[in-house]
Amino acid sequence: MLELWEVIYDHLYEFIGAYMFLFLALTLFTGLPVAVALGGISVIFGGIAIYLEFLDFAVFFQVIQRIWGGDGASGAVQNPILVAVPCFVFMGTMLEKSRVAEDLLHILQVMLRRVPGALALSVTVMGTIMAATTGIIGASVVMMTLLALPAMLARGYHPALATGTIAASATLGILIPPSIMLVLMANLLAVSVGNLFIGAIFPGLVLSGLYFLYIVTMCTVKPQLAPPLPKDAIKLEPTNPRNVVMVVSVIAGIIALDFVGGALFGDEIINWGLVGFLGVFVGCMIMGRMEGNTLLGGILRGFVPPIFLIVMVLGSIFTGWATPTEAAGVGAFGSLVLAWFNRTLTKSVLTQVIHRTALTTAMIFFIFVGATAFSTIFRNVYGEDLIIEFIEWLELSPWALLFMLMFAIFLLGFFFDFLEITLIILPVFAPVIRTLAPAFAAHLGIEDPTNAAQLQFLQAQVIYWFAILVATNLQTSFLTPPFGFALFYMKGVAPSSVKMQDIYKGIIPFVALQVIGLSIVLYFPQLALWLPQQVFGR
Amino acid sequence: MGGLFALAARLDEFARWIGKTIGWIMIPLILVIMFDVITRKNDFTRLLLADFTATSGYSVSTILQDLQWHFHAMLLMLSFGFGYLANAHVRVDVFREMTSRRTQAWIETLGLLFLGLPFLILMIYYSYQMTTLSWSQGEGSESLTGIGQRWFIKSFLITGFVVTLVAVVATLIRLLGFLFEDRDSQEKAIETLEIFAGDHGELEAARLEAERKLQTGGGDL
Repeated sequence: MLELWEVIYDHLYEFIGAYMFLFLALTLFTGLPVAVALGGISVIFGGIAIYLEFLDFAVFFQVIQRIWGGDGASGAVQNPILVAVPCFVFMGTMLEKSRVAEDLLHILQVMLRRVPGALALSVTVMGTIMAATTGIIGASVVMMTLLALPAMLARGYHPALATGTIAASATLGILIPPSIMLVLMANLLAVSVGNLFIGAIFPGLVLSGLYFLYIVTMCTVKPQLAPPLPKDAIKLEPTNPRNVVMVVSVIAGIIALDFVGGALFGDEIINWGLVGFLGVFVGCMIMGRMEGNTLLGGILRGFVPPIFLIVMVLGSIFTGWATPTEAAGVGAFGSLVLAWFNRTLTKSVLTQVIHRTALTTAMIFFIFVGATAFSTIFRNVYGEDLIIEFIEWLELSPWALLFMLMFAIFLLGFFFDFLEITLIILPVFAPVIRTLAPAFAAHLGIEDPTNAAQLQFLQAQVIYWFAILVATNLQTSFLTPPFGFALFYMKGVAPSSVKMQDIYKGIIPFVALQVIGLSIVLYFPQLALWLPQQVFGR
Repeated sequence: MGGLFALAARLDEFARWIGKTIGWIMIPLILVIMFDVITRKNDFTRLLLADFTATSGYSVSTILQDLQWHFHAMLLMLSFGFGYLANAHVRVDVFREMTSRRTQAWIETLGLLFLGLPFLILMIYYSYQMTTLSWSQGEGSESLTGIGQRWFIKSFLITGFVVTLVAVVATLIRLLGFLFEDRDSQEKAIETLEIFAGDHGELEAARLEAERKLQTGGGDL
């Protein structure tokens, strides 16, 4: 009897981490809140490990300290980087509820009316600009579907094309900055958020470029898929050419004044670049208000402000003027200004936005807290070493291993939102990727590291590349039928005339485009690495 | 059961009220960030504030940056309970949607009893330990010129987990009422519980909105 117990004891001592993971998976599929499952499993297995004297009670004190953070650790609470998350959530929700997003879609349709598939293209552009900020896949798919699908169906677009475009554009948001997923990833992988944001710009543009090409080609070949906008649908008065001249000259005037000011007074007291930027923005907003219901007025009111907002957020990170946290705060403030300018900043809108922000923040950070508890216990029972041992035991080549990890993430994406994957799986995979880094040096065009500093640089570069790959991969996974859950959300809000088959049929070409995009980033890592190196230097 | 349901309603109301109220902290958070960015990146105000630091020993910018994550800490800790009651927390719904409400209620009850409650109670205990430790050590800001009295913000961990516990207890009372009481109480419990899969109230409302828009021609341009 005693012998049997010793065998069990030894077995548990070695494999308790594996059981922990197994039980987590089982508990998650019962449909309990993920955070509760994570926290509960960590308490139960922490308790078992303490009972068997693998661990000491102090381990739970370590849990609460890791949840707290501080000292540059990636905790949830004392962590200046993560302040960006509620701010971006606020910004995205504000743009949605204050109808800024809707106005943008309307004006884009009119601007692109001569291009085949104008409305589908507008949705892609809007996804590129906006979907970024709504936080989680479900929310952004719901928002985009509600905004665009009725309009597309009413204009006679084929349901498959319409749903495919919307689902793909809405999920693009997890890759294109400002993206909450990239903030969380950078935080967990201990790399710079700004760097990751800027690295994601080109891969994101490649994807939306591919969508763009596909839609234009399809709609040129088969015009019946996307009927052009009827002339009488545009209820805009003709633009007075004199006003266009006036707008252009006012903008030119502001820029000229700005240069004169810069030359006369120097850059010491006032940042003239910024003053010029804000001057043009304010000028456009005022002239947009004065302009009547014309195309010019629509562009000034609907198109220019969101563009300015995004440029301001990314630009301030780009120029090193603000940290990502500050940029997020500036973006949130900007969204308030836009809503006020749009005359939709009422008390009820603000209350809705505040409540939604609180709920989304709670959702993100409760999982964060649970995942921190889980990973602390998991690390303490040597679970991570178990996984690394397992991977070494496989004896795969670095590339095969990378593909295996990618495939695993792809499969996980069928069942989990990016939150769980980023918070539970990535911290486990990251050490593996770091050890692999030298094997990818040649592929990334970096010399083999000869000292510790070079190795660290190389590891950071590989991590950036890996993070972008994961983001693209996850997006593909969310779209892939029959499990991709962006599609389920879409079915949930789509008018009942849209069948699930339409959604499946519509998404397949986009999944193919995703795979092409993913291969491009895989094959040309410079796409993700070049721009940050130019911006931040080496 | 009526008395317990009334208690659950009170607890529910309390946790929701805390969550909804703390959401408004976003506004000061945004303003603090804006103020910090503007004054720090602008030489005129930066020099003015540097003078202030030299004379008073407090750096405005450091205080503001500490204040940012202090606000963030309050927001995230106090919104957990509200999030749970409004069913905003992520679940893996694949298999859950196929089961009956009764099964879901059983799973939720057992899950809360054996996973949720132990975790929350343990976290409350250890965050209390951490806070008292911080208090007795007189822990201040790492940067010395920031916000001191670290125990104050650490105590929000306790409050946050307690509010979550309140929300969990309210849900548990209703779940037990649903599982073990007569039909009357069951209906009452269902009305107030938002945890079930399949009644996507929000999704359904959004879908109706989409139908309405489709009927009116997708909106004017």
